[in-house]
Amino acid sequence: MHRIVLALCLATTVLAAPRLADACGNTVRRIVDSTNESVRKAEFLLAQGNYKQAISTIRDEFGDRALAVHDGPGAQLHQRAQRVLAIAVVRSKGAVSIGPGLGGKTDAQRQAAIAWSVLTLRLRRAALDDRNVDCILDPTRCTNGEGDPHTNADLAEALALQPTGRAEAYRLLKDLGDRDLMPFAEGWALLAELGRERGDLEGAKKAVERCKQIASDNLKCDPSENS
Amino acid sequence: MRPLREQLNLPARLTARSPAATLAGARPRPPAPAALALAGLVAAFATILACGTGPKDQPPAPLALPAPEPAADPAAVARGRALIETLECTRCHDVPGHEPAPLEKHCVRCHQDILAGKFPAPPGELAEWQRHITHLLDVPALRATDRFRRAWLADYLQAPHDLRPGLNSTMPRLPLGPAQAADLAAALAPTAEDPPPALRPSDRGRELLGSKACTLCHRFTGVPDIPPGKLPIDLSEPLLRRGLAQAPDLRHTRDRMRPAALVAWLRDPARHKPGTPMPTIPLQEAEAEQIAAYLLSAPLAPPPAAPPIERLPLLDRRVTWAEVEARVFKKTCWHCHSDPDFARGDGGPGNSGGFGFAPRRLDLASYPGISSGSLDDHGKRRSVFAPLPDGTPRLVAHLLARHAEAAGQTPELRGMPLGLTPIPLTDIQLVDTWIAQGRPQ
Repeated sequence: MHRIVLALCLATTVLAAPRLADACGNTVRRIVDSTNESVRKAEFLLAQGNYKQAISTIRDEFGDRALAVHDGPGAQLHQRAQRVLAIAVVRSKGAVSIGPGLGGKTDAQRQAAIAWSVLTLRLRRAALDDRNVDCILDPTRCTNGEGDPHTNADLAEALALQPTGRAEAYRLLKDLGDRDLMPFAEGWALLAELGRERGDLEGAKKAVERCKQIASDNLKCDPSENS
Repeated sequence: MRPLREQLNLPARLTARSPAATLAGARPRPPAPAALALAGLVAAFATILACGTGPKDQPPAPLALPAPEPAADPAAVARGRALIETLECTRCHDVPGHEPAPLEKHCVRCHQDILAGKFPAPPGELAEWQRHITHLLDVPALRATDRFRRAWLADYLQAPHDLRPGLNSTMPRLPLGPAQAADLAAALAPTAEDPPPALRPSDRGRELLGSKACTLCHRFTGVPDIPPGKLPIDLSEPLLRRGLAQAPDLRHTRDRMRPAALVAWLRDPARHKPGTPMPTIPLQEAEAEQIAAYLLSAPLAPPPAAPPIERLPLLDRRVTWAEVEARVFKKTCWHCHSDPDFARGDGGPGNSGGFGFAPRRLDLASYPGISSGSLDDHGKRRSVFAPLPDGTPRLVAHLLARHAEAAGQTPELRGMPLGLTPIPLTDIQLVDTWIAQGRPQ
């Protein structure tokens, strides 16, 4: 718990800092920056399901800084690196380790890693919303349209791993689905699961249909189909 | 000499038949020998009239030109100068009195540096970019803009059209209302217009446009073709290339330029705008006036009707994200609608804002990005795939709107890609089909 409190304190410092001057930064800049290459590689490994290698790629590039809140030059890349760690934890259900006590074999390690992921993704949502502290816990208080949909979907995926977070995860995904802003097929699959849990069978059916429209063949949109 | 018939603007049949007979619809009889002799006399007399003395020798009346524009309101000029900053005009244009945009924001200088091999990037990447860069290589500097009519500037800024056929990009449609466009025009052309010279219509101007090789670079749509003669000066190839790219279509000159400034410009462009690709062609004052008179008064045929902009039918095959990404989003859209994480939070003007546009947070660099939609005018997220009232997905409608802009229209939706070559209709069809198929990942 003290870890979360520390991270929240750091986050408040970061979010109160003045906004960086904008620069163009697009396809040109990202190839010039070697750190970016590492983050891209880690994202690729994450997408392949190779969580351990994705994590080690980030840790090799950022060291222990990867787990701490960071501001200043490269803050956006740093957030992107943290997202890789957070999603690796979520997709492995906390089984992979991202640092001491964060992820592993014991339930406490897994829960600590998942809690870190939830917090990291909440902070990312706020950072993407012009560092709006109000946006950390409540997406309706984000200024840029209830927060970044991609980050909200990531966050929902993490929250769904916490018994106390599933209701919030459902709300986030339902909102994205209703507004046709679901950023990936996995979000529809999870919405179907959470909807079924809440008795929304019609909504779950629609979510499965949308998942199947979007997903590649190896994603299971409806777990009940093969059971 | 033109035939008398043409000079008098008579239809051919009236010269062979009397007007009364023509009106009565009577069948013409073969002319008698006496009548033929009389007709010959009349024709000879008329020919003499046309060649020699009489009303034809009077110089034509001076052209009726618009009243000179007074000096602009200083308050409007000040507002306009502020707008130059807000709209980030310096990302493409050099503007006197305004700092150029830094390299990482300067579209044209960045492209030029890449092409010149000066951009700090690995050689392999540089070589790849050099193959891909086709747009925004050279843009006119906004110097000596007092030669333009403010009224035209304001119209053009609101509804830019293809002024320079040699460039494959146009001035983008920026977020400007009529009042802001007028302010910007005031900042660009603040001074009072000089009284126009007494220009008289003359076909000599047309001849000069050819003999001085003006039409080597300039197109003049709406008038019969003017073949260029031999260029009367030596022109380096780079300058000729720039001239070919930037030369405006001369049909717009009458609305665009102040007449007195036009004559002065024709005689010595570089004196007014150092660095201009328009060369100084030796011209007497009278010749410059004759060219100006032709540019300002030659009868113009209406522009050809634009072909209809068709939304092509959906394809009956599977379209994947990989295909639309490669053909459209990564190829064209990505540069302005990028992932803001790439560097310091700026995802390009179509994402983080720029050129006066508010941040739309539209990231077209990835599937999750495009699926995450964009911010509407009220800051709310909306899907870019949502159908408009006519059923066209918003994203497709923006791509089609660029075709409408290129055809000279001003559609309600802003055309995309902003100011660049429209995406081919077959590629839009691909995007349309992908959306209709549920946007498979």
